[in-house]
Amino acid sequence: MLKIFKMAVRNTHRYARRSLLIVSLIAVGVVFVQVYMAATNSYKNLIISQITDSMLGHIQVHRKGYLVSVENVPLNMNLTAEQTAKAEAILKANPMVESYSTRIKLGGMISNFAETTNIRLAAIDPDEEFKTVPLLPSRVLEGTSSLKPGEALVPELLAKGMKLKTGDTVVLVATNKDGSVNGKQFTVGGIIETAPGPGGRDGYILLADAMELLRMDPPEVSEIAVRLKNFSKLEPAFTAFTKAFMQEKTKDGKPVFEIHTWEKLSPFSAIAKMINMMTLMVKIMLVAIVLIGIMNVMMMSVYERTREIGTIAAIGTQPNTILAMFMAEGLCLGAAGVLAGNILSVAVIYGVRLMHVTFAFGMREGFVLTPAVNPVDFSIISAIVLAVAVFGSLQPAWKASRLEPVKALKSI
Amino acid sequence: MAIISGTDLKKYYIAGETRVEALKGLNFTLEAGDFAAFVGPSGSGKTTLLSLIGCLDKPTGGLLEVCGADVGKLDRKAGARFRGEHIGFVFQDFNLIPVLTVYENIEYPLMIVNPLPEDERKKRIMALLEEVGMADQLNKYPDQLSGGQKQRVAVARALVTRPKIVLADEPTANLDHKTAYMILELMKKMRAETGTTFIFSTHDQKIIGEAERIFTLEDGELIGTSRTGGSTNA
Amino acid sequence: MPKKLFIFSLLAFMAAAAHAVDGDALLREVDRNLEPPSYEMYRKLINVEPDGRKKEFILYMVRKGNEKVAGVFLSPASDKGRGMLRLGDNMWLYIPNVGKPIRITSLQSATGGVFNNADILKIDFGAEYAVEKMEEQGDEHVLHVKAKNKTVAYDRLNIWVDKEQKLPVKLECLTEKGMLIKTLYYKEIKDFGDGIVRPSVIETDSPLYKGYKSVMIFSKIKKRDLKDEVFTLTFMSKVDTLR
Repeated sequence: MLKIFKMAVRNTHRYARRSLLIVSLIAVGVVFVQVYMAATNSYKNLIISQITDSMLGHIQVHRKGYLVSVENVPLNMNLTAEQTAKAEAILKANPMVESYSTRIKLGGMISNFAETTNIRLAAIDPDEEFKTVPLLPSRVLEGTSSLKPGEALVPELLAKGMKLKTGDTVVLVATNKDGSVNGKQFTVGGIIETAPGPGGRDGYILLADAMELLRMDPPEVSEIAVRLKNFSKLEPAFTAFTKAFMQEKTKDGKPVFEIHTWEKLSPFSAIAKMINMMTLMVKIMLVAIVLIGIMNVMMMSVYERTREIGTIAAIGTQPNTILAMFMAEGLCLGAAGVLAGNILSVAVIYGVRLMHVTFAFGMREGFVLTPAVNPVDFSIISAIVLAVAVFGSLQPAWKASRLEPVKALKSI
Repeated sequence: MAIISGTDLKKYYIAGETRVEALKGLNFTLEAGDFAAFVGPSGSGKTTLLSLIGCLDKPTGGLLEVCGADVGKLDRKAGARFRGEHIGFVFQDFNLIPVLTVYENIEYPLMIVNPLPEDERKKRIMALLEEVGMADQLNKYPDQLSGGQKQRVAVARALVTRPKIVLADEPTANLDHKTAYMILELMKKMRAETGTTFIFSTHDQKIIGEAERIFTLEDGELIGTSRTGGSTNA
Repeated sequence: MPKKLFIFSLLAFMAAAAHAVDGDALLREVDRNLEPPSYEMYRKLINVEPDGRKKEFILYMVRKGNEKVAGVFLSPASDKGRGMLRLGDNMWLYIPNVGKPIRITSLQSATGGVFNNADILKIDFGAEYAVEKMEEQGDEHVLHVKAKNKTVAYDRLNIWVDKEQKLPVKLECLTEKGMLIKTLYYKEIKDFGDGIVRPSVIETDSPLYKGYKSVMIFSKIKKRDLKDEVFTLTFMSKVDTLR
């Protein structure tokens, strides 16, 4: 076996230029795929963590029917205190939960007395909220994220339009569930940056203030955002929660809750899926390059060495051994390409990191792309290339092993 | 006991649309230890006969027995094994493996075809290298050797598995006369030491004289066999 | 022949002109029949939701000409004391909790339901609209009017006016391109005294709020002269004292 590989390596050196070309081609393909994957993963993860960590949370729980009317910020689709308690019990019981936070969502108007315009508000408990959505405080441009009673975080677009600064007095007017209208004076506690996606333009107030404004008695909750300890376990956690929550039913036997992952709540998941699709396309392209390249080189090799193949067949080499010899050559070329490609990829990836490439998303700029060398991804790509190299040399090697020694010996 | 016997041995090829009768029913035997030559002009069928004896091809009619086996019944794998065990080849174009050194070329059959443990291998190879006079070149590659040197290595390779028969198809065609005689003397010496049957084909009249048995072929038919000396008919 | 043609076209022109004059004059008559230029009135607003739930508001309103209108909610308790003021094209909302009035637009709604602020703080049609076309439809004239400027709540109205009583029967509010926003139905003519005879009930529905219905019931309309200072931001919290 070792001898076969030794011969294989020597044979690749025999056609040095050809081997170098194919190895370079494979290496370039590998570099492209590895760097692309590293960059897009970094991009995706940055955006997803922006979305989940600065606004949505990993998973959200609502009363069934809420999401369909979410644009209207319906007040009649809130969870009652009892339902909220049940939901909290389910969440507390699951060890995968890092934290959760309850929110009231409402629509209303904001006025600086001279101008009044519509606003969507999210009422929070800052302690719970910042544990569940840790990047929220970093969105506060001016003022402070720690809300005090009577303070509001105003979205930057509205603040700009109405020329609001921290410390200004505003009036928030909200239509209550029964249709009556209530207003309350607030102080601007801070200005908050827009986040990409739905809910990105909400203002924030304290839960207690919202309940007062909405004249809500007993207290209700519009949504519960959940943060998991381990984001990569999103699917199994979601399945477990769905099972637990779906068991809660109303008197008519209909489910009380609906539960969704961030993907259902943000249009970015469509983009993420597209990115994954493109990554797959790139991998397929790499496979094609390796397959065709190796096949081509090996076919030429077999053709040129027909007489040699006849010789070794004549002196008693088994057809399977001849097959193995040529496949070993293909494998060597593939392995050399993978090795060179991986080394180069690591270099390029670190180069990109050093370059501090930035990009913008939604209204925000200054995201820094930080691609990383992921051992799992690297191993998978390497394994794929090696497998394809072996597969690509299969047909030429098979042909070589099937050569008739008499005919082969006659060739040039 | 005949080591090779052919009975009404026939072989045809299809070339394009015509059927070529390469061998038209040969009857012959060879004894172990024979030093024989197949002679005749081009197209007489000597290469074909050598291929059949070497189990590189199968007869299309008649019977050919080599070392007691009916070679017509050997499939690809069995044929390769048979060749590896019983037959050695020496080619007109030497056919050494370019990426292997002299030593490794001779070692090849003992690694890939008929494996032997390392120390035994080494002993055998070194002995043969001495015999063929290439012991001081063992690390050279074929492209660094002269034609005669290459053929000597080829002879060593052919003998390293201790085959019963060595087949040589025009082994001296690419050598000058002096070297050609040298190769033939070498082969005779090896026959004397190992008892291997040597069969070579040639149309060089001067070389023919070195053979102890001569089979004359013409147009696919055996028109004469003779022993050292002159030629007799049939 | 040319002379006959000239007389005929002159007569036709005069008839058309007379028609146009009729339209604006009719609109003025409708305005006067509906409300005196200065008055105080009590109204009940009822919002009906698709599931049948009702929410009732009682509103006290005063008006002086076409530039000044003020109102205050008397009931329910959750809305008591909430005031509205209209000066020209500008509107304000006063919420007792807030302490200071905030400026709002005519299309926003202080009460929810289908009525919006412009409906509640209504002034003369003639002040905001000009008649484009007038038609006959059985017992009714149909006035097609267009807003005089962009700040008016609705760009176009179609008003069905009863020929005899010169009072509106139905009113459609439309966008500039003619899309229907809401329809008002005037019902139950009542004598409010002092020569004021007009529909006491206005019902409204809207294709934009399917299943929702709102009703305005007028009780007590009385002519009243009011001082200018009633219609100021500082007086908004004290409108109730006029009763």
